[in-house]
Order: sequence, then C-alpha cells, then structure tokens
Amino acid sequence: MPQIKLQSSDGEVFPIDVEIAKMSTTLKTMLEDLGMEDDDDEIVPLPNVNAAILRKVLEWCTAHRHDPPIVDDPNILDTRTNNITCWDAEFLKVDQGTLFELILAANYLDIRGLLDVACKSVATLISGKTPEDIRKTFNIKNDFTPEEEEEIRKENECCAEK
Amino acid sequence: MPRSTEIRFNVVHFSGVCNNRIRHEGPSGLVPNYRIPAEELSLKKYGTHWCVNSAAKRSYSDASEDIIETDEFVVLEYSKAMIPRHLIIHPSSNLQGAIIQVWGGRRNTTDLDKLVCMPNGNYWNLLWSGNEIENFMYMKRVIPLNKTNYAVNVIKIQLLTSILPYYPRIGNIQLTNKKSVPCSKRYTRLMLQYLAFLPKVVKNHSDLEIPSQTTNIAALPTEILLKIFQYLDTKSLRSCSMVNEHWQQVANDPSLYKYLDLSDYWNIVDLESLTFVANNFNRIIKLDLSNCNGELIGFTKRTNGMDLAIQKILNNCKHSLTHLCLDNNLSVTNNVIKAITQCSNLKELRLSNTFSWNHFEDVQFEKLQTLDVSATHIRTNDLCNILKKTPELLNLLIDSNPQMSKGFANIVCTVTRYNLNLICWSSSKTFLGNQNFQFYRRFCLLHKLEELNLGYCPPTHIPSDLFREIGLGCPRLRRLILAKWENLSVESIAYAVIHCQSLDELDLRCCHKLTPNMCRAIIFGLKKLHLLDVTHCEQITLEEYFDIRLHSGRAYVKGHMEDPCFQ
Repeated sequence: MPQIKLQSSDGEVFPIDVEIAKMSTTLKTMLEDLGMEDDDDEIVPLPNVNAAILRKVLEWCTAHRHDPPIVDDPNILDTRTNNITCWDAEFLKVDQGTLFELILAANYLDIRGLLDVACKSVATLISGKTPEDIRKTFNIKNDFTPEEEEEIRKENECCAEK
Repeated sequence: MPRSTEIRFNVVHFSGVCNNRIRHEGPSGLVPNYRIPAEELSLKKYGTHWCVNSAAKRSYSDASEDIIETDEFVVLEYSKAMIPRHLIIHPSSNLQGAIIQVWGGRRNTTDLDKLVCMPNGNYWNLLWSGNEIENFMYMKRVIPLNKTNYAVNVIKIQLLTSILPYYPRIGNIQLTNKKSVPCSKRYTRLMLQYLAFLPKVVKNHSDLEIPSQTTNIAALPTEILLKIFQYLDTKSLRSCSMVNEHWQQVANDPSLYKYLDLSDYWNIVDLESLTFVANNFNRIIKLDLSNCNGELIGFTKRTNGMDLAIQKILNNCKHSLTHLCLDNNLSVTNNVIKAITQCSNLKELRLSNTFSWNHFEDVQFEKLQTLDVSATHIRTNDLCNILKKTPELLNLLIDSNPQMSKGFANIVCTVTRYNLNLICWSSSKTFLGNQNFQFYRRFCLLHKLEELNLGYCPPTHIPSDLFREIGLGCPRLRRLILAKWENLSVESIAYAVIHCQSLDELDLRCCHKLTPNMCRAIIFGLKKLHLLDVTHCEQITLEEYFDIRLHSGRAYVKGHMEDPCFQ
C-alpha cells in the first residue's frame, strides 16, 4: 500500500496510506496536481492542524475509508440530525474546543463526511435552546444593546402578539 | 412519492415495555398509500414483531396476536411536533374495559395543566385520562383528545388496567390529528409560543456546561456557521438570531428557509405569520400550508387576506419553489392559482380539498411530477391542458371529482397519450359510470404504471379481456383498487390473476359478486400478493372469511363486516 507523510503544525509526522489521504479532497487534488510518486519521501506540511486533531481526523478517515462518496442532490437537502451513527456519536464525544477544531480541520482538508457529521453535532447542541442558553453554552458575548435586543424580540414576537 | 416515506420516518425513537419495534399502518397496510392522512399513526403489535422495514413486513401474521397487553406502554418520539386530536382504539377481542392515559411530553414544560415528573427528570403532560371503557366489542372507539391542541414531540400511551378486575385486550391504537377540534384562544397562544417565532426564556441553566477556554465557536467561519444552521428548525433559528449581531446576520440568511412546513401548525397560522413569511423568506423550495385557513377555524371560515399573503409568498419564491402543498386550504382562490402558474419549477403540486377556485390557465409546469387535484372544482379542459404540457408527470390524483365524470374518457385519453411515464393513477369516486367503457383499455398504454386506483368508478359492463390487456401492458402494476366494481365477473378476476403478476395489493371492497373460491384462486394465482381487501363482499360469510384467512399464507386478507378487526 503506497503511503505519504503528513506533518502537523507542531512537527509530528504521520505516515498514512494514500487511499486514506485521498478522502481529503484537498490532499487528493494536491497529490494529483503535483503528480507525487508513491516512493517520494516528501513530507506534506499541514500548518493549520495540530497533532492531536490530525490524529483524530485520521482516526475518522480510517474508520470511514469504505464509505461511498457523498453526492449532492439539491432536491434532497439532508437536514436531519438524528442520523448520526453510533460510531460517529462516540467519536464526537469531545469537548467543544476539540469539536470546533475538528470542524476547522475537516473544512481545511475538505473532508465532506466529517464536516457534515461534526456540524450536525454542533446543531444538536443549539437545537431547542433559548438565546441566553446558547450564549452560555458557547460562551458568546451578547453585543446587542438593550434597546436593540428589545427590538429584535419585538420583531420575532410579531407573529405571537395579537 | 416522497410523502409516505416521510411519514414513516417521522417517528425517530420508540420504546416500550415490550421493547419491540413499531409499525406504521395506513388504511391498507404497509404498501405506500398516498391517501394516508399525514401524522396518522397506528400501533399494532404482531406477536413479538413490530414491523418497520420491508423485510419484517413479510412476517406479519394473523390478527389473533394483535394485542397490546395490560399495563404496557409505548413511547413515541417524533422528529417534529404533532398535535394529536383523536385516539382511536380497535379492540381485538373480549374487551371489557380499560383506562387509557395518553401523555404528551417535552422537557421543561411548566405552564400546562397537569404535570408528572418522570424518573429521568423529564416532565410529561397528561393529554387525556380515559374513562373506563365498557363493552365495546367489535367496534372501534374514537376518543377526542380535547386537551391536546398543542404540539408535542413525545407521546406515551399507557393502558392502566391493573386497577381493573379483568384484563382487556386492545388490538390497535391510533393517534390522529387530521380531524380538527377547534381549539381555544389559550392553546393557540401556547402553541404560538411553542412553535415559533418566540422562544421562551427559561431561567434554569443547571444542565448547561461552561466551556473551556480553547477554540470558541466564534472561530468558525461564517460559511460553517451557515452549514450548522442548516440542520436547525425554524424555532431554533429564531433563537440563534437573538444571540448576537453576527449570529443574527447568519440566522437570517434566506438560504436557510428553504423548507417550510406549517401544516402541523394549521391552527395557529394566521394572517400575520403568513405575512411574516412573505416578508422574510424568498427562497423557499418546499412549502406546505395544508389546512392553514386562518385563525381558530372549523373548516368553513376563511380569514380575509390570507389568499393575498399566500399569493405574495408564491410571487417571492416563484423561481425556487419545487414542492407546493395547499391541501384543505380554503384560501386558495383564483388569484392564488394564478400565482401558482407562475412557479415554473414546480415538481409537486397538491391542491386536494380546495374549493375556492375554478380557473387554471396558462400553465407551464414542464417539470411537474406529482399533481393532486382531488376533491376540487377543476374543469376537465383545464386539467387536460395541464396534462398535455407535463411530459414528466409520475403521479396523478383526481379522486372525488364527480364533475369530471363526463370528461373522464377525455382525461384517460389525454394521459395515455401525453403522460406515458405515469406511475400512479388515482381516480376513486370520480367516474360515475356511463355506457362507454372502452377507454379503460387505454390504461395498458401506461407501461410504467405501478398503482391503479379505479375504486368506485365501475364501468357498466366489464369486457372479459380488460385485465388481460392491462396486465400485459402494465407489467409493474403493484397496487390495484377496484372497490365497488359490483359486477366484476369471474372471468375478469381470472385474467387479473394470470396477468397482473406483480400485484402486491388488491382491493376488492364491495365487490358483491366475489365468491370465496374466487378469493382462494386470487391468493393462489398471485404469488406476490400481500394484501387482499374483501371488506363488505356479501357472498363471503364469516366462516368462509376465517377459513380463507387461515389458509392464506403470505397474503393478509383484510376486512369482514363482522370481523372485529374490520375498520
């Protein structure tokens, strides 16, 4: 099995199968564009991903290497969040920081499946919460002035008030 | 058709004492039935098998096992809120009495009538606590759930029988929300708070964790946030828009409001909410405003201006809309229809049970795949003009349109000439019969046909080779409905048996010439048959019926006037 080497932002080198690397569209394009040969000893640096996150990403890719490619059909927009597999749910039981870094890494490496499932996972954290709950959950600062907030509340209430 | 599967997948989680699986059942078993009222769900247990998938579907057996035992409960968790209004109980046998409680639940609901705290800390609202039901053998009971006019995501049904000295057996419980009970102002307000556009502030934050100070959600780029928001419902999106300025901007992105289904919330959708939709959303792809007739209505009153609001929504979204459903919506006027004709990308159009319009002109629906104009006042000529311009049409539903009876032959001829891709034809109760029946033969030109519903439109005379032609012409025909074909002759049945080999479901309700031996011949001849409906067939006595049923093997024979399972 041909391999390539990936280097994380903090210097650790990960030798992986090309087949797994190609699950990342970014790496796939790069490998094809550069015409890298199997036995090249070249190391691909990934300055945006640290070793801990890269290890997680590769773990996911290894587990999902036989997945069929995702085909986008504009008519069937997948908006369900209840179809996360057990393995993925277990895999994504991480703290928020790691989850967001995983999303960023998946976005950077363009790993569609991982990005989808991680975004769904964040959506489930938001779903059903009030604005104040959401701010607390994600430690977001409320930058509305009280007047603005009142205005938005009114706007959203427009259908409730008679 | 997407709808029936959507209904099936609506229950996302199920649990019960028996820890079994659940099966959804429409009026005719598991075969996709396009007339299933949305959200109607029945629980039926087959021995230890609750069937949910197609593999399990083949294993269901005799109704003598269809029992939900005493003190069992089932909990259903829906992917979206529903408003149950009726509880229908089908007793299986020897039912003496039962107390049934229905609980609807949602976490942290604090302002509703009666609360019960579950062991896991969730609250449940008692929707209905049944009285003792006495002696209603062989009858189904429809119990209005008067307190239930608010949406719930989780429902628990429990039979409290331990306090009774006897053991009732209940065959089948159905929860339905189709028939409306006009709800009070108070519940409307509660619903509004629940649904929608106003998230309620909850003071208790004990279950919220404070995140560690590493990568914050603010580090995510806008397009990722947008992607996350795609997975949220409208209510959560409204919450998000109130978090901070950035989130407000992202959460108001029109691209997020692509699917808007307000049919479940029909009783609170009013002029103002529709105006809100019209002013804010302009890229809706799927829109469902079924039953949304204005505030607090029965089925007659219409709020003025609703049609204008719908018109405005349609005008805003005319390029994006592909699926439009306006069933039971009395606000569909000629002006709305005019706006609909501008939506040139429509793939699905449903207008059943709308009476406030009569013109349908200048139509350009080249991509239309599903057209439902059941129980409307559509004119035959208008329909034919639509049919001529929709080469991709797959499903045509024109049930209960008796005014089309005269032009029926014309419609059949148009379809068999211009819509050769048709998969589903449904025209129950549309053709009232006349002397000319030869056009029925033309159905054999629709080679892709899978469902043919000609219930309650029998020709006066049935040519003996009719089904031979249809069987040969439509090799994929799976579902054939010939209810009320009273003069169905022995030869016709024989031909149906021989030539429609793909038949999965055969509905012969009210076919009075059907004999027990013909039933046996059908079951023997159709190797793929799963459901044979012989309700109200006069020549089949109860003894014969049970005998057929006992020996029917893989096929489920349904219905007899005196059969306790008869619905």
